[in-house]
Amino acid sequence: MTSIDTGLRAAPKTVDAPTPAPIGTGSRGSRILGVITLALTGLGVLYGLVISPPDANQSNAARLLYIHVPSAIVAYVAFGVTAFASIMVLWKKTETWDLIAASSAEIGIVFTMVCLATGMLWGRPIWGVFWTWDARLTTTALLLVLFVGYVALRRALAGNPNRAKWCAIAGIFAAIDVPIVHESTTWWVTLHQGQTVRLLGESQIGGTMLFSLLIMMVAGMCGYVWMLIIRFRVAFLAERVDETAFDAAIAERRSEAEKSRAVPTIATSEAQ
Amino acid sequence: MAVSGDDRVGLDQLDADGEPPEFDLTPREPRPSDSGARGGRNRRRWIAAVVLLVVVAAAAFLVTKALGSATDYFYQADQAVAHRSDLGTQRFRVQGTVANTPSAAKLTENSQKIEFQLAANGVTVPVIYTGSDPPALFARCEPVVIVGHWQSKADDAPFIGTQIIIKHTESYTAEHADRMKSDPECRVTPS
Repeated sequence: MTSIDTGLRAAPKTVDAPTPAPIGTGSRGSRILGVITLALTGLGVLYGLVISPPDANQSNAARLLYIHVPSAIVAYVAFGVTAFASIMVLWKKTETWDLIAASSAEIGIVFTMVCLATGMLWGRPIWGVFWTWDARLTTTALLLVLFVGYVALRRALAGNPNRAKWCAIAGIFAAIDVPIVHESTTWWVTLHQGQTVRLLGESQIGGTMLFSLLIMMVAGMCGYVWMLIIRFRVAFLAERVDETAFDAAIAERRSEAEKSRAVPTIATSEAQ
Repeated sequence: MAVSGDDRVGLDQLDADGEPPEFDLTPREPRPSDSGARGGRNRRRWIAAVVLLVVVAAAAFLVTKALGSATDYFYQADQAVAHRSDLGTQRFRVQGTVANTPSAAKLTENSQKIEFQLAANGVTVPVIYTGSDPPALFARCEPVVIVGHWQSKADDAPFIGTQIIIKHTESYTAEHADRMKSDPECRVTPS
């Protein structure tokens, strides 16, 4: 049994050698974040479903906005983190950045799926169709496919010493679609509406509707960081399994060798 | 470290004929379970490679889609009129607002057919829609995208619609607030 060569320096051998390596899937930080996420989501449910008014045009279907927009933003951030971590993989060549890139991509995929699902649920009653091939929807579907491909590439290259490098290049390439998705409604004519909430200029939403949306955005971001910590720690521990398995195999062979060293003297003397 | 596996025997285990077993001291080959694990890993890698291939194909399909219809999702009603001769009777999407001017307020509806005027940038297009029930939000002053084609190349030919999609705006306003429409032909319509 051989340890999988990832072509990367293992975390303990690099600068962060003295820092204690994760021994569980959660940390104090992740537990606090988990509670905050849960509380904010609860508040978001209260505001999104009870306190905020139905929309003048769309009635209650507008409430899907409170999940749809935050999930899109979290997906952008998650894939942005994958791109940044991928650049760091190419530069620093450390296992930590490689695992952050992979973990963030997986979470981004989940949020992209949530975004597409809520968008389709909204589209049917409002637009009249679940799906249409406009630029926003097409580039978002492409984003999902690109990152599913990224994860598939990681699996396909498992054990390859150059996996981290190739996956980093793929991660950066896939993330190019993020700004394209974001700008698609201004670059092309789309069925999808433009930006509702603007950092610069007037937002097309206000009052408790805007507040509900902001709560869910913060909840989404907290949830993302929470999941990222846990997913990273699981990935880190999964990498360690190969190392410990290697050590265990050596220890097993050593104990065999000791046994068989003791056994032959008796066995051969009795056989003769 | 505990030693597991049934290929190892202790001193207290004797063969059926009472003889102590021969001990093989040559380096051990990987146990079947090891090669099995490696086979499983290879199989997983193959599955991942196939998934990757499917994903690449899907990406290629989506890119072609994006380069094709998605970038020209619709023509505004005035553009559709301007390109009437090029478009002929081919299928495309036209966007505009369901007109509300006194002359164009002809939203006749029966089980089979809806006739209305579609307006954009001062140009109105007569639309004859035949298809399933339009979306619930379909109404006067509502921005819509109609899928269909020109009936003919004639200047007064209507647009034959087969699907109505609502082009929703990005603004969200609470119910009961005063509804203001920015479209010049649908100025203020109290809800």
